[in-house]
Amino acid sequence: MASLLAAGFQFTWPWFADLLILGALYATLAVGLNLVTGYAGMFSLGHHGFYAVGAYAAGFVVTEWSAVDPGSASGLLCFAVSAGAAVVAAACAGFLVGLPCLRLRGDYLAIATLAFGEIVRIVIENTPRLEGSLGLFVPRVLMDPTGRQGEFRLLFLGIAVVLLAATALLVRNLIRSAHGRSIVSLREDETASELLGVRTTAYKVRAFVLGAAIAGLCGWFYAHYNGSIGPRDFDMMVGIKILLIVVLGGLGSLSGSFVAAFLLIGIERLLTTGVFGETLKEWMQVEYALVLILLMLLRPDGLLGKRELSDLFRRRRGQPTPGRGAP
Amino acid sequence: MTRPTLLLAARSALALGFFYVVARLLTGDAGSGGTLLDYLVIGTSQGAIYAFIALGYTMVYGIIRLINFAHGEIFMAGAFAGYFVLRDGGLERLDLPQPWPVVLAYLAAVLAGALVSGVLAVLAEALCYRPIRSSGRIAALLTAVGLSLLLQNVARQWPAIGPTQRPWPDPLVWTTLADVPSPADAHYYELRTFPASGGGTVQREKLAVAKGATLAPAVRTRLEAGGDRPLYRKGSIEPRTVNRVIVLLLAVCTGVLWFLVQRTRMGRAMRAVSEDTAAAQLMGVNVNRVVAATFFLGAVLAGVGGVAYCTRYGQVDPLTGFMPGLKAFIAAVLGGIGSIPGAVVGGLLLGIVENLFGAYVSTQWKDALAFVVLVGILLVRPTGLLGKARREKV
Amino acid sequence: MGRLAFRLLPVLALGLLLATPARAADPELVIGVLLPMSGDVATYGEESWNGVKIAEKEIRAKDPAFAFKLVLNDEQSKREQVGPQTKQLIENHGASIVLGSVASSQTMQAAIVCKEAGIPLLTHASTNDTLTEDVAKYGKDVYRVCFKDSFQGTMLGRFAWNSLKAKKAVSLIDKGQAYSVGLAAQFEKEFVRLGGTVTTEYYTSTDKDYTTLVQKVGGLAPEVILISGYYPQAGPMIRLGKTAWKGMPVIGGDGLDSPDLLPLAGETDAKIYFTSHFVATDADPLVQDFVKKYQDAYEGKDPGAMAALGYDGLWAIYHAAKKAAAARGAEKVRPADLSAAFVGLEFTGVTGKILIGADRSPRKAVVVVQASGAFQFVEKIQPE
Repeated sequence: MASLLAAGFQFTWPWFADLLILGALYATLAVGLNLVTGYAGMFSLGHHGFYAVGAYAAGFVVTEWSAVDPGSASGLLCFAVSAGAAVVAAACAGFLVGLPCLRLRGDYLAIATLAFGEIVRIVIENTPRLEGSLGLFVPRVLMDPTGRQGEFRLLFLGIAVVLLAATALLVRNLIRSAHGRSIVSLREDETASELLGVRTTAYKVRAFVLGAAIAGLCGWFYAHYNGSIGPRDFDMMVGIKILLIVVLGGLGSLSGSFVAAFLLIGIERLLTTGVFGETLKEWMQVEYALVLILLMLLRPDGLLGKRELSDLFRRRRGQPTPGRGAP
Repeated sequence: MTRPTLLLAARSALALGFFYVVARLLTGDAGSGGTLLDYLVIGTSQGAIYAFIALGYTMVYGIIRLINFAHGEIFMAGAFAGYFVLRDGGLERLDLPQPWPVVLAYLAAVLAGALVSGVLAVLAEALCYRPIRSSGRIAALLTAVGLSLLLQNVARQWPAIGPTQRPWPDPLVWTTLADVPSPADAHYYELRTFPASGGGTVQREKLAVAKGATLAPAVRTRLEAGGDRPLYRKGSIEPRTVNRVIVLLLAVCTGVLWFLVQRTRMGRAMRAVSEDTAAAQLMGVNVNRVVAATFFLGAVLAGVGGVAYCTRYGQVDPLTGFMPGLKAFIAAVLGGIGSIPGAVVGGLLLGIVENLFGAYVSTQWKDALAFVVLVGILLVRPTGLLGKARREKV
Repeated sequence: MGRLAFRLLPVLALGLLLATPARAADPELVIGVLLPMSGDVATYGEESWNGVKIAEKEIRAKDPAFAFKLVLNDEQSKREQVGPQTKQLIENHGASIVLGSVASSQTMQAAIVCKEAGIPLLTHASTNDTLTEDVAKYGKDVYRVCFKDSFQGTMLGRFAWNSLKAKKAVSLIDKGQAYSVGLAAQFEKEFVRLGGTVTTEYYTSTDKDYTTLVQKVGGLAPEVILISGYYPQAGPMIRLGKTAWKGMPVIGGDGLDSPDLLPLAGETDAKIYFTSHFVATDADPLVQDFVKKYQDAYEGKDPGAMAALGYDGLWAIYHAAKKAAAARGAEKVRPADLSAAFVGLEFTGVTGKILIGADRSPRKAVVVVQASGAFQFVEKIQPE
């Protein structure tokens, strides 16, 4: 710790709060993507597009709302309405993208979703109302920030944790239901499911839309938390980061996404402080790429594969795991 | 008229129109004004570059069903190889009549680009793609994405390359003191001292001479004291020439490629592996070697494309390969991924359509057009314009 | 739900354990410097930092008792990096003031962060008017030591009309940069007022293929072309316009002021003019003095506008800190006092006399430069 402080860098509470908030945010995003890619087996490279749609929908609502006194009831209403707008917009986008594209398989689906992500970015850049690359400024609606920095962060941390918990529970319960088994069957063998009467397209669309909605909600959170959004906040690198987290944790493992998100974001934040040397900080992107490649070469199943953390605990006690499809 | 006849007529008309444009490009002055023909010419030239890159994508996909996301970076690596050769190679100082030194310098740059790209691709295949060949689609795609990021960012961090864009070296044309006009034009004169017999670095002395000024006596003295050291003046290549060379190069390369694929043993092996890998292996084909050769060929083309692209646009940086790579990929899908003529057609078509759109509709949405085209072709005809429809066997 | 809490608890506990409750009191003034040291406009950052370093050495030699520390963070020419880097400077290094950045879009983002943290921001090079005008967004603690685009754009308009005798202009605007949009708007206002016509075309820095755009502009046959963005895009456009733009002069703002402009533009006959804050071939003795200092420190290289502005920027902070300390006594200067000290601050920098008025900007002269072989001084226009 002494060497860290000697570098002039002090670990303060806001820094930590930021770390936890970002970790929770990316964990939520990962859960959404995990549903689409891990459980339903659809390889989506454009998930960041829904993230962007949600963020801009929320931003649009806030900037359209007449001047808000931060912390007032009007502010809270604006906060809630923008959330609704984000979810609806992202879900609609998910539906519009999902319906035509989900006829495609594997590689073609991946490219199509990639194209969608890029189209969203270009649309944002070229729409004057959304300020494009200049950045859309999202005024604070929750409380007056001056002089109350620490509590402001705490509030957002609370929201982030609630968001993560709610999303994780939602997805977990979905997977465990009959609905969920149909979705998982899509991953295992789509042709077989179709022959067995599972309405594959319908389930694919549902999973896709839900994943998009979750990403949209994350976008809403990010817009309010960051105070300003630009197209580069949602570019391909972000999409790849989310995918990396999902794969790192294990496709099909919810707790894996949690662990991977906090791990990755934590390490990233730590390295970018520069206390471990400028070299590690500058070579950040290279390190990401290396992690991705090595992961694929050495452990493509990720840290937890298809299992959950709870499975590891249960196994130790000698109990069988509840049925979760083929091992 | 029956449908096949109509289609044939349409295709012939398009082909004729295209050949007309190319003919005008090669012979006339087209390409620098604002007419339709000019835009078509630029589009063809741009499309040719897309085709160079698209061929690499298509060949690799055809053989191992992998979308090589890192192909854009291979393109960039070739461009940088060419950059260093042009900047430091010193080929311009050869004592030959103009324009041969410049031509040779560019030839060397293209060769360097091709070679570096080729070797890099083969290495990438051996180290990253081969181990995961049996690991499934997601692993393959993610490895490709990871490799792409790795190459981009290693290039950005590498001291000799760095993250900022570098101006593409203008060809230096040597002249003698007697040829220096007086009063001088606005030129950069660069006095180069090459190290004796190979070792060491090139010393450069920049002499900026502004318009209307004569060479100062002190400067003249400095030059003369150098004895018969040649004085270099920065030349430039006309955009028209660049466009012509690019299109001709594409024609030549495609011809050579066609010959390799159709008439040689290796080509036959490639086609066999692409058709049915297991059967080819059983017939005694060394699949690993064929895959490596395919990667090499595709990368060589991308390297050539890289040098061409940077000569046209005048700058190179580690992210140069990103957008052209993505667009070339779209072109490959448009033409039919896995089909060599498809890549060429797709590339040219995308280049032309993009430029026409930019000229007559909007320059801002030009990029979006490429992606819309992608989504469109995937929904309407996923196998592309010239690809074969594949049936999923249960 | 319990499992979730179980997993999160150790993380939170660890966090609270390691976190220090408040910043340790620093005896010295920490100046956070935010610059684009890499990426698109890296020459701006490098030059600025060079200038700042010269000023730092001089200040330490002149006033050893004045304790201060510079912390440099690289925003990589990316808007989304500005927020985290500025936050780091303020929260983790304890900066009491932030110096930077260069591109107006980045500085705006930094201003938002500084506003929330209550820290003043001094930009040495951002010229967009709204930075000091939009108090709701950027707060009232943003200052600059350079002129504004309303002045620069107007001068460009007049230059095009009077000196270049142009009546028809085409404006090329970078949609993604506030600087570009603002400057072009000011130019158009003045040029149209004088009686000219302006056609606008847009470009972005992501799509690097400008051939079609260049052709289009050439086809419009303007008498002057304004590229209101930055040099990494302007240079290649000029190169591509070798034939299409033959005989049409190109003008721009200080965004074109970079040693990389001409190499990127290549061998060209085009007449290129731009307005800037400083040019090394200005015969003014103050300028030449600085040029000599810079050449001694950096192997004979000539300083660009950013170096001169960076130099003036750090000196401005020094003067303000001394003024604030004198007002409060010898204790450590608080950010609010530092901010207040900027209003009415007056000193002579190498970019001219700097008097920061009520609009938190100085009124300074603009230099017209011709880029031909090297950067040639054309004229200096004083504000009215």
